[in-house]
Amino acid sequence: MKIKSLHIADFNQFQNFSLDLTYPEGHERAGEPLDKVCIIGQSGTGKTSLLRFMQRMTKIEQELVDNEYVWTIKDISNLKYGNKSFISINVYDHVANKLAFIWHWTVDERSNNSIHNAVDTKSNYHEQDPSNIFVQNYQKSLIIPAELVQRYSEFEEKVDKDLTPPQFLDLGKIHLGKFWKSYQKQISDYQKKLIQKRNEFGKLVANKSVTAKQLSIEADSLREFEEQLENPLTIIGNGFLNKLLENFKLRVKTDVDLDDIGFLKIEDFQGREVPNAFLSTGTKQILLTALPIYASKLKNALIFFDEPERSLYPDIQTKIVDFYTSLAPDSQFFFATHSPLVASSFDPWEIVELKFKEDGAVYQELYYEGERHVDNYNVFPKRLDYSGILSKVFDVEEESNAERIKALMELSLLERKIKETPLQSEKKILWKQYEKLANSLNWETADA
Amino acid sequence: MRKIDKSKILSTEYKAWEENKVGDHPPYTNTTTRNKYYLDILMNLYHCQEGLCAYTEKDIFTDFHNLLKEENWEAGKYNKARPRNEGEVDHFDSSLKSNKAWLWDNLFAVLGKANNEKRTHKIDERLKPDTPDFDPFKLFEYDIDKDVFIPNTTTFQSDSEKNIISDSIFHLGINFVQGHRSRALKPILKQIELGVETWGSIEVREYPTAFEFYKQHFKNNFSST
Repeated sequence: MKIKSLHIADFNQFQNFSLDLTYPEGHERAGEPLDKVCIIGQSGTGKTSLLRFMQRMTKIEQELVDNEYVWTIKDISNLKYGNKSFISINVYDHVANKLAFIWHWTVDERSNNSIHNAVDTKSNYHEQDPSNIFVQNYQKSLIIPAELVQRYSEFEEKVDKDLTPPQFLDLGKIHLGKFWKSYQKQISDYQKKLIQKRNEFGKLVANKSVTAKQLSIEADSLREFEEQLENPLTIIGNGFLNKLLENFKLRVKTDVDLDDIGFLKIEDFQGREVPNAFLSTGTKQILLTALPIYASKLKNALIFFDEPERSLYPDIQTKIVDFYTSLAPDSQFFFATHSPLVASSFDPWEIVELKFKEDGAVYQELYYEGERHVDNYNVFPKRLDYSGILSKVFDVEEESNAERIKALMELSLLERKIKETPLQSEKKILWKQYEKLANSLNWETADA
Repeated sequence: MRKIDKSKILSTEYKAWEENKVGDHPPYTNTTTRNKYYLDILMNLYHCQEGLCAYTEKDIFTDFHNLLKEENWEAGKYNKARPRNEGEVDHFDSSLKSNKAWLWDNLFAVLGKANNEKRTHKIDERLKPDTPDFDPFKLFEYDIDKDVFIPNTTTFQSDSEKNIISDSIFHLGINFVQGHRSRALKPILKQIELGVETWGSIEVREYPTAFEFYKQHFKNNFSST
């Protein structure tokens, strides 16, 4: 399942709020659900809430899905049944063109058993306590909350024994060890095979009856075996993690002792292991997010990622959307971000910008006029420089801070003074001032 | 920043009160007076300023055309709810805020975001946009490379004069919309450059003074355009 659209009738700041999450007309994939979506907006507009809404949608009964791309989430609203509060969601089936079912979850999430409930449309949900119906089979999904790094030491210490990834993954609630455990076994198997083969060769060497020619053949065989045997740590490192870790002059340590597999080891470019306690928060952020996505082997899943830019330097932020989406290429990604650099990785139809109305309700700022067609879009983040993204996408309109304005005015007056000064020696003195000031403004507006 | 004519009074109830007021005005924070007159004043100013900020000339109330409609005013008061707008009332001379806070002559509708730097800074009287001899071309120059207004270096020749006017320009926030102004005028200028429109035919709503400076610059330097 991928989400094609969403309608919220009335819930908190969302009132009669609709999202079309398909490729627009004129696109070669028009009508299909978007592969990736970027949610932006002022704090409090509900970016994280939207992620949570959609994430909870993945808990609905799988058997009700008879087509991969048929659902629309509609009419999210508050509902009271007796003294219990529920959030009610009507789910529509596009193919059958009818209401598929109504889904509820309780507002009180403390009880694990009460958070996911689906009610068939044939039932009259107003006359029935929704919490009596439980759903067991969920759509695969993964949610990555923003505050993961704070829990890094916890993840490291506790390695979960359960090797089966659940259908519904919330990285805010489960241990990274759950994912790492499967790698531990692969690494252990790899090393056992390697040691066994080397021991066999060692015995041959010790055997005086073995000829030099036989030894040579067996040495070639060992070399070939070693070349073909894939080190899981090399796959993790060269396969994906090193792409970002290299920016920090770090890489995955691939040469580890069998007795010391423990958790993933990171080393610097000189081969010195960096203790986990001394890894930067940016490094931890990458490990905590990339490893689960890759290890989960998610297919056609929904991945909800809140603030992927956390603790990452701007140059890395420009790369992370491609990086993460490459880890689960068949899945649908939803990123909620405050980063213009992250937003610069998206086409305009992939961006959901939330804005406040005067009354505090939220609406989606549309980037097109008239029909939703690729030709009618007027904001293209990928074509803008970062200043343009700030002003045109993030509405940082009065981008000129006081210091800059003062400097620009000073530069302009200085320019006139240089022109008017007849003395060449005076011009040269003023030029020094001009050069220094223009340099501080990056010469962006100093040229004639 | 262009000359503003504030002679058209729509908020007649407020104006009669202001003219007859003897002694000090109620404080600007006085809720009663504020509830009674603030919106009337703001709407009247929008009408006089054609919906543009008095200082930056950014569009802060697009729907100003409707302000003259009879149904919006009743017995000299604006009778509709406050519409969506980006403006606020500014006291040109902030020192009058203490005892003449509601003086019509001292009030202008301005872009709130650009008004933060002004606070209590003294602004040179010559830059008051409703003075009879206000002429932006004598007061300012417009640097078209940097998109900023600066003091007119012919009118203000001494460094001290330039500094005074420069400070006033800065504190009025005229250049705080520098980026927006540049982006708003670029498509207009490009149309003229490419012959899609002419200087005479194109309609310019926002930033008319900057546009006029561009016009003069191009006419002086490229007379065939």
